[in-house]
Amino acid sequence: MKLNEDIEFIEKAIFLPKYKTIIIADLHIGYEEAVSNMFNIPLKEFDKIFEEIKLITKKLKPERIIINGDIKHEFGKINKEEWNRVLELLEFLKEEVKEIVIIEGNHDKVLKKIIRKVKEIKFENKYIIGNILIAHGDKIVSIDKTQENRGFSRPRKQKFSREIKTIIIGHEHPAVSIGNGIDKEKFKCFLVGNFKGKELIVMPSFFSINEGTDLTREKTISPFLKNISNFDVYVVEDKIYHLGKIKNL
Amino acid sequence: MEYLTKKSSKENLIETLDPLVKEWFFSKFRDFSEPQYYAVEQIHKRKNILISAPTGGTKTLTAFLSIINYLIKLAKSEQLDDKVYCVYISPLKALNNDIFVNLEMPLKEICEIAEKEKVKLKKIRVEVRTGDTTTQKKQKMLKNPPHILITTPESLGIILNSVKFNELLKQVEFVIVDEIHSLAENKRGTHLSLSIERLQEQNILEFTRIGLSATISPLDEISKYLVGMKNYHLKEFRECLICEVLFDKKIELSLKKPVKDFIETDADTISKELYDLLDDLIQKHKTTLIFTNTRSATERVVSHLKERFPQKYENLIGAHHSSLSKSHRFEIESKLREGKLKVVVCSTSLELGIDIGNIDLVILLTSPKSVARAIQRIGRAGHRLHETARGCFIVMDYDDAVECAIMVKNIIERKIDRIKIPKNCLDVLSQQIYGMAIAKVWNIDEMYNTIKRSYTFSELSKSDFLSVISYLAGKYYGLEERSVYAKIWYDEKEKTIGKRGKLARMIYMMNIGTIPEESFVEVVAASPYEKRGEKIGQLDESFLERLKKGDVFVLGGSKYEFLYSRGMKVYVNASVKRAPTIPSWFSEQLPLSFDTALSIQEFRKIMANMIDKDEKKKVIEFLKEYLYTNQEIAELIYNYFKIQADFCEIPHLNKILIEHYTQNDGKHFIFFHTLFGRKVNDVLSRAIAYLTGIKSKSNIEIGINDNGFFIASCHKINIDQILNIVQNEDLEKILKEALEKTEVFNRRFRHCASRSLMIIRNYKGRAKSVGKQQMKSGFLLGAVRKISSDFPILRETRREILEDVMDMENAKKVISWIKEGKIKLKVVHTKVPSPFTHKILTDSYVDLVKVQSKIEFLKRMYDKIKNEIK
Repeated sequence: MKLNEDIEFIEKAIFLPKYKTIIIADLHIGYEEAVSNMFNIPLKEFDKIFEEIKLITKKLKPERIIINGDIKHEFGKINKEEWNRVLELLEFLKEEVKEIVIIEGNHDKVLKKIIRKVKEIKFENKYIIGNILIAHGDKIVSIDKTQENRGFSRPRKQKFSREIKTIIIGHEHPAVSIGNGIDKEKFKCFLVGNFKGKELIVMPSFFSINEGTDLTREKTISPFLKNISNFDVYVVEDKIYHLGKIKNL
Repeated sequence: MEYLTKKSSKENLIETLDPLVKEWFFSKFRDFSEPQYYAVEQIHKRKNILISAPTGGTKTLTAFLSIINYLIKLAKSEQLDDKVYCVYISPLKALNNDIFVNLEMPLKEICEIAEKEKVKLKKIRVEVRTGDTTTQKKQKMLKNPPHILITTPESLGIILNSVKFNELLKQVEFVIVDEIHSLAENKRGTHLSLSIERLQEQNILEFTRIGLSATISPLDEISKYLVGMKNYHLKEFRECLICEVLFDKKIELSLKKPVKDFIETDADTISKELYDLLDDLIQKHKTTLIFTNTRSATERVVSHLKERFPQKYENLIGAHHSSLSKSHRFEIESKLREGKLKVVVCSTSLELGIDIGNIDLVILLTSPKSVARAIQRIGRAGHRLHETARGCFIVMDYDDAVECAIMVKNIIERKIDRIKIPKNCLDVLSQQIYGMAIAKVWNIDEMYNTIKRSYTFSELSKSDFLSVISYLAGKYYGLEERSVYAKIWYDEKEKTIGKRGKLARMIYMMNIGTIPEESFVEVVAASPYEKRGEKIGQLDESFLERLKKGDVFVLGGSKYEFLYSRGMKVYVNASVKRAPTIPSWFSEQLPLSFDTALSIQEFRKIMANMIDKDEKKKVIEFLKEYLYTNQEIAELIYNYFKIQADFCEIPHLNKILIEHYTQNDGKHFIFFHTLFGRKVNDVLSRAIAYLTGIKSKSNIEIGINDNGFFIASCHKINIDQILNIVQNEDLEKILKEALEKTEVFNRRFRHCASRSLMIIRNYKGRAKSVGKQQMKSGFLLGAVRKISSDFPILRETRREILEDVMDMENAKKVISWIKEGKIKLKVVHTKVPSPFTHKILTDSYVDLVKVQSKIEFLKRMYDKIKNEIK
């Protein structure tokens, strides 16, 4: 589905046709590992993520892929599983695209160690293509580094370059439940709204273990998101469904 | 199994007693009690025995008298060893403490007599070991082992796996299971049954088994549960005597209603009159105990009584239910015992036998749903032997009046409804096999034999057994590439089984048990400002799943608006004026027993035949006689049946009424007057809704209660299709299919996964964080389903739902009656729902049977929303 000239929603990814770029967010590789410790169950989540990324790259033939944060799950440490799998994924992508950009997410603090193994990968805390700013969304990033605001506190006065028209973030894992009373289901979705006069797009999480945070009943966590009642909801299922404003759901 | 019909003679009985015990006994009692005349001598002869008597009897002393006698004799002749002679197990920690006091006292008194008579007597030790026992105390018990050990099913499971203490349990001579009826019918009992067989397996001699039970049916089955199999190849149970004492005290029953007529009176008046009636009854008696069935009703009754009669009840009333803290409950119990309270209101929590002092009236506020339960509750009154137990049913609507009237009849005629003992629970089996493997290395056949001796697993197939072994041994799926932790090893060549991992014992000890962790979410105020952060109460997790932003619900009598949830907390707006949008229903409500339901159906049939052709006067006279009731109640019941008969027809044992009604907004309702209890209706409604849903390609709403169910949809429902479904389809197969997608399945799977230790709640001394525990069970479920739809724990989830939560067995019976023509189906169309449907409509558990896929669902919602966007 085309949001506008420059931005398309394709499954759980964003495609920027002008720049032959795809963006995905919140892979949380190793999540199942963290969870299976308690469940004793083998899961095939990584294979699924891998398959889906393969399909998207085959279909769109991008030149650049941007992973918008939280490529891995465990905070602070790298377990063997993650190490191997992140490497496997990156090696694959290197063959498929000309440029890989990884945006640092709050789960990625020690990712550098892994990435050092694969050359020619850009590791940034934000990325700008044309008039689009891409950031993970756990903190407000600005063009001026000294103004950066870490953590979850309210942003101080931020200066965004006038050229920036759109901001794309992940981090929130947006989902909505729709239906009435007991006749109800939960879906992953994109959110489109505003942040300080810019268009703000929130991407759904790419991993499929769960849908994400149900924004019809849970509070948002990203400092980019305060009042989202006027945001538009685009549910991702077999295709993209525009369901109007979140407040009307 | 043999019912005891002959009492011992007083002389013979006295002869079995040591002079010290004899002297003590007759210093306390004038004569032996009824159960003692039957059972004491048999226990003395080391016969297995099940003793069934109403509460308030002398059951406990009956069980212990021979044992105390035996121990005193040993002590006198200096043959008393440092080991456990008798293990006593009860479901309640509180009851354990009671028993401890009740044993210490006579032992002390006997010692005093011995001292007086200059007889040297070694001290007989009694100890309690439960989850509350301190490590220090446990150490002390190792040094000086108790001769009589008092414990709970869970603690017994732990003891069997504690290296040192277990050594003391290899020459046990007596095992007593108290309140056996309340254990046999659930998985705690399954667990216990296996533990007792494990205990037997490690003992050199067969110990004597003594079961103590309230009035319950069928006693044959319970006795088999108690003793287990001697030889399962020959299907031979160990011998067991049954001692049934019907009445050891008089029961006086009454049935009251707060108002003359329920239809003509508005809700406020009914409520006001109810509290006046309660107050009147309470004031006329010394101490009253009220059973309300649910926690919320308990709270409501207490607060209303306090509000309406401020001077009377302030410090004289207490609430008692399972959500209250242990110390609060303990305080209420001891105040009750000391006679400091005028009235105590409880849900079901005071049903079991701890001593609560002298109660002269038990009030059953609305139907207790089973005859056995009613007797148990009423038996709480007049706790001392030979006193009269006074029980009063108070009914709150017409159906309640009919139900309770039939219950009174069945109590008087002693028609006790049967309980069901769950069998082949693979989750409990997993937990126990793990425990067994930790205790020692087993030969697989030896292990299988031990398990099969338990009544609850006597029909366990070898393949089911092996599937559990495969799951525990990690052989179920290709595990090479992943570190999935197997819990045991199984050497197929050597046919041996043992534990795996250094932490096995610790993991087992920390995670044992069969009672699912109840998941409650805390309700906290987020606004208005002055109330921010205030804790309001708790909600069932399943209730939370249905709340949407802006929904208004009722909790503890006040309204709250749902704002958002975070982890295990729900944030609400505490100042809201709108009417509730979500009806509160009680998932805790007790289901009506099938046997009592059939009694009501039979009654309906008699009424259906009489009401059209006989005069009112004649019917009333019949009612008074048939229901052992008075004019007022008879008239109330007559009027109810008359209205229904005039309106359309009376459904009964041989006729199911299927009533179609279209609401103003076009929503179609189809009511099924199937008074077979909620557990049966759960099966019937879901199967019918599922097939109807598939055929009409839409989701179907269902509402279920004890008297029937409805299915509802915005689309027209084809009734011929439904008749066809009921008469021709294989409901069990359909239901199994339908169940997989329900919330109930997800919840129950979580319980089973936890019991079978697939989910480890406590690991390395740390409880799993709330967030991790809350991890969607659907997610784990999906993974297991991919492995195999025959995965033992999946199968157990299905079994638990079909057999324990619902009642497949009896639902199949109903269906076969329909197919044989014993029950006829009759379709009627009504403009307004008939009187018999009212309670089904207002008071039922509502659920949705989903047949649409997520995508279909989304498309439907999208079509609806689309127009609004444009």
